[in-house]
Amino acid sequence: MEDQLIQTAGSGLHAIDIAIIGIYMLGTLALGTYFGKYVKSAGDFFVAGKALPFWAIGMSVVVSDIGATDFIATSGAGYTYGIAAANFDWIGSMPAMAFAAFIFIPYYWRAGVFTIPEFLGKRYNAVVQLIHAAIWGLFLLLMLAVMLWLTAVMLTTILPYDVPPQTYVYGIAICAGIYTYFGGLSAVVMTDVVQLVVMFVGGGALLFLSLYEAGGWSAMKETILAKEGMQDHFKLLLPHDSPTPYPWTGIVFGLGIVMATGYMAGNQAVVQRTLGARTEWDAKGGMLFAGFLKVFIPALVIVPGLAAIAVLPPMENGDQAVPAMIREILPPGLKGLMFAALFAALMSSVDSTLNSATTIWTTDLYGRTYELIKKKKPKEHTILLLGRICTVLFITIAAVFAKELEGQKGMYNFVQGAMSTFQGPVFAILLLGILWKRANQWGAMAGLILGVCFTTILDRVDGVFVSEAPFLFIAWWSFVFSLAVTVIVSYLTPAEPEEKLRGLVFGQVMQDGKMQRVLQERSEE
Amino acid sequence: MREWISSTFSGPLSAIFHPIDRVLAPFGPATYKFFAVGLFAVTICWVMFILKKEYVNLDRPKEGILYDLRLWTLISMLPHMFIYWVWAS
Repeated sequence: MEDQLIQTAGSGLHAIDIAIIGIYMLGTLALGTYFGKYVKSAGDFFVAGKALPFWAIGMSVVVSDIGATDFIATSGAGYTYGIAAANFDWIGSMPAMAFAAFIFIPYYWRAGVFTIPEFLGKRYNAVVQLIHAAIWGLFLLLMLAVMLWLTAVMLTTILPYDVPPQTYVYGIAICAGIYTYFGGLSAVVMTDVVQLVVMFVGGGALLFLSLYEAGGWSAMKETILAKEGMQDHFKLLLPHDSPTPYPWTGIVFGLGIVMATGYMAGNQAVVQRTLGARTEWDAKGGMLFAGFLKVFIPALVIVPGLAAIAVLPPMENGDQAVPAMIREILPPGLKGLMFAALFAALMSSVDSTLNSATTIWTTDLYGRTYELIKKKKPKEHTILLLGRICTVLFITIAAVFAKELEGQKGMYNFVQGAMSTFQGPVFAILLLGILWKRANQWGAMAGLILGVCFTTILDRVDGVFVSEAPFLFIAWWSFVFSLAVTVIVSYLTPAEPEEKLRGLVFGQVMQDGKMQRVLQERSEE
Repeated sequence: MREWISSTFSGPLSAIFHPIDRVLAPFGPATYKFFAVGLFAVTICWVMFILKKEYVNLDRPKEGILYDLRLWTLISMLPHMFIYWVWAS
């Protein structure tokens, strides 16, 4: 899709730009591979040996959430709809990150799990764990392929080299695959820290030069508001009957309460960093720090899109805005830095998704199935070996499958739609599982399965909602539906025994002796 | 399949959701701001005044206000809240 939209932004690349990009790529590879020497067990590989400090967690959460295509697509949304597009980083992050920090993460962390499905397995049963793991395991693999392909297409169009997209796919896959293979979560998080700095410096340069070219914020605002059809460009929330994807009810309820909290507390790629925290305080603090950093993201990705309205001639599609701004206003050196920022955004998303997919397939789909069949847990070194094999296997499958996405123009929208299909039901059973001890395994299974069916129906019936892209409303109502189903079925079936719920429900005292000893030993170190 | 789902469920779903749309459509910018800013304000109050200090700060590395996650919550939420106060309408 992008190849038809984006003009050649990289036609003016100088030697210094190419040198900056090369240094960045080699540096990332070296840093990520270096952390391989600390990986001795499955715990080291999947949750960084529970040694991550809050600042690394916070920076990693932010950078994992932003892909290179977001730089283009979110700026494009800013160009088309105005600052309303920033809601996804503002109300779509901070209240949710506080909820995740103080409701969900302490319980995942105290339960000593590697994944969210593993927590659901302890709280409910193996069926809920396996359904949840299968949904996320497949979704993350699909995301990996989509991410590789869309970004490769974008790079093909904005870099001045005559190579097919598949070359970029393999290049990125090899680079991210190598350091994720050796270093596991530690490598992913520590390279993310560097990638965030690169993104902020590159994006910051584009922000300041965009505003300079537009004559400053006030002049830019005045110019945009004077244009026809752009009078709402500086309104964050729009009326309920607005045909845009951002009506206020969808933003506050669908995004602020359901999708954002479901994403921050239920997405393995986000939560896995907090499970690797050295203490519970670092896990919570990491999420709050990430929420603080998120305030700045719209400035980096939306403002250049807005400035393009004031600085450049009108464009048919907003996705052209940032490539055009890069081409027109960035000098040599800064252009290389901006491309390094785009690579950073891409690599951080790919490595996080790869590591999370590997963790879910290894610990949940393989580990739990093995446990159910053999009646014992798989050996530690088997899990570590399998984790590394899966890393190679998945990045290879994604890179090969990525080519198949050529011509599938609705793929990105399909992925977004798929995510909203299960986000509401999954969040409903997670929330009830932690807040309400009466929620039981039968309620959770009914809530999850019927909730996904209900969402599928809502998604396929046209004209029910006023918005042109009603995924926020679908997320909200599927959440409400699953919540109701889980409550009703739980009341109609026997409650879970107290022993099973110990330490897993909000307000109960954690009484896991083994975990208490680990905490005690850590505090004495 | 899609056509069957659409023809079967379009009527009942529209009967449920269209009246909700009619109720919500007249609300103006003051309402948007109230709900958006309110979501941040309620979250801040919940962390600062309802959750136990010991629960919020469990495992804190040092005593002192700089390591109090209630303060961190306030500092990380206020910029977001200010943005909605200014630009929500």
